[in-house]
Amino acid sequence: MIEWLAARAGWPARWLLALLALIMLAGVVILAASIGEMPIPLSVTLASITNGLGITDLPLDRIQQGIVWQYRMSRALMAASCGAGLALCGTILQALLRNALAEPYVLGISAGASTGAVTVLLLGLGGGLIGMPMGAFLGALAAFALVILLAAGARSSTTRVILAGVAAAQLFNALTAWVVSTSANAEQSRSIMFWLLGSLGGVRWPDVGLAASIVILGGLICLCFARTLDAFAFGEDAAAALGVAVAPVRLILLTVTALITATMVSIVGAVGFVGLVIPHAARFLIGPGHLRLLPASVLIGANFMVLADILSRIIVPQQVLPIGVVTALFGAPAFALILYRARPST
Amino acid sequence: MSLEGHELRWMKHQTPIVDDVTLTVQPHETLGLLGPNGSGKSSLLQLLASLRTPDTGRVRLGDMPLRHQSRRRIARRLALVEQHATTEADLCVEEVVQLGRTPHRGPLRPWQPEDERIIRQVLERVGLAGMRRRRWHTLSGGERQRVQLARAMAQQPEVLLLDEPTNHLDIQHQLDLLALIRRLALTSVIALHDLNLAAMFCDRLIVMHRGQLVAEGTPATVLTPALIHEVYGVTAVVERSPHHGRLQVHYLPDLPPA
Ligand SMILES: Nc1ncnc2c1ncn2[C@@H]1O[C@H](COP(=O)(O)OP(=O)(O)OP(=O)(O)O)[C@@H](O)[C@H]1O
Ligand SMILES: [Mg+2]
Repeated sequence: MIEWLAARAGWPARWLLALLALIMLAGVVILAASIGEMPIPLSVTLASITNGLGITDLPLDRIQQGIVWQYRMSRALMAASCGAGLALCGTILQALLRNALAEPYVLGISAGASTGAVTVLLLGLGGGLIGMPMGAFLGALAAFALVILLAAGARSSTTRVILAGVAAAQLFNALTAWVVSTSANAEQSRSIMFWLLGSLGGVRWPDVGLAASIVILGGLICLCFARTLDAFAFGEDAAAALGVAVAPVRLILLTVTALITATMVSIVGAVGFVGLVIPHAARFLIGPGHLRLLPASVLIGANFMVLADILSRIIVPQQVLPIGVVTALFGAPAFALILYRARPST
Repeated sequence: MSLEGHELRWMKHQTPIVDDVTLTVQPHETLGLLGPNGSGKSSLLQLLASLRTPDTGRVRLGDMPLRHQSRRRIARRLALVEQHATTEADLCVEEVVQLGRTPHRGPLRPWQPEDERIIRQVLERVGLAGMRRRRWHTLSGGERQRVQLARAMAQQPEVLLLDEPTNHLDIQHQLDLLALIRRLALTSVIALHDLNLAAMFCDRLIVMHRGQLVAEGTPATVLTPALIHEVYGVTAVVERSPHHGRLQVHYLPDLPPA
């Protein structure tokens, strides 16, 4: 039904869909704040949120209010920002690199971040000056630069970018495994393992503020380039022939993508498949035009990630799964479907 | 608007791919670009469109030198139809043609009635008005070629560069398309393989061979049996057709007995 609406209807229906997606996002965030080890009634959750926002000052149980506002709300909003950011990056990379499989995780960016984080954590590189998130951030940027350099020779060969990414991912994973297996004790290994698979535990409000502002700022920048991204449909030469200054545009957008990815990975860890699958889902619903596709990806990504977080906390009772496990459980079949349905390039 | 290339040279791996080519296309002239495979036709067109930077030489569009010009200013005056256009995106005909409006629209300027009018008009002219919502991937090779021409026309250029636009087209559509390009009366350069079509539709011809320009002039001065033999290694007879009055090339390979 949604597909029918999106494809057929004019702009009022599209705004309506966007509004629905926003309302749904608010809904799942509230849901995420009320579900958990200690179930909190929706009414208390809502009151805690309005209290937290400073709109109301209702008398509530201090502990419940604290859990909702300090732990679950920040966690849910971080999930939303992360989903939105990764989906945005996937959409941009798929358009710029002209490859349906391009996304931060497939391109080895997340693997680079992991290596950076683990190296800082276990080897104490940076002399304690830079923390684990900073290590992840630098690792992500390094991996990004490596992949783009490896792929730079491939002007029109879109598969080479992916191959470069796969190679980079292997390299970084090997480095991570090396560092972990030689320097970590069992306890550390376990917590690193958990982080590598993506974890929203331990997220605090300042993290959310950083992630959300980067996603919003990056999203606005990308939105200004929506038409330009459309012009890349037939390749870089075709874009140039349509008046696009290809090199600066690519530099700006790749930088934005790298910064968003690095920020997300440094806070949440390596979450796969969101950047890959969400843009395809959005394209399926709303079509290939980036002016609509970018906001759609962001909204769907945010919703998806909050739902995935809820699932990760309720699938196994009394236990929280790494969020990357949940996204992969849904993402891998979707990935297979994309491969299966992908048109032979003509 | 005229288009001039002056002493253009483009090297790749120490071999010149376009070697010291100088050419001028007069306003409203249709110039045919001939030459065997790999002779440098596409490369020359890319240099003229300023998609590649020549190692030496320069390109002028009217009185505007193209070096250091913004891509957008160039794209408003000059459109290119590439030899092979491929995409991974699931676009429909209309969306491809709309890309032609890119150089005329700012990043946030909404779609105007004027843009819509132009899209409708160019689709009409290439005979695809009934196919607006068809998906690009479902089109035949010839239909894709026409969509690309429509996209180039939507740029409202003064100069049109076409790289083998009649590729994949059936004979009716080849004739229609070339006639249409003539009717547009733009300054155009058309890379072609069919010598007879070139003689029929072009004001002037140039011939490339191993990156160099080896002949230039009216079809009658360029299309001689000697040149055809030198460049293509094919024996041919050239005569003026009693039917349409243009040159007609007859190839004389070793034929099996009729
Ligand atoms: N980027 C490049 N790097 C190396 N060689 C190139 C490059 N581009 C073109 N060439 C070579 O330059 C020569 C001319 O190529 P070009 O595509 O211009 O020929 P063409 O006349 O258009 O041929 P065709 O009729 O087959 O389309 C070819 O030998 C080609 O291999
Ligand atoms: Mg060619």
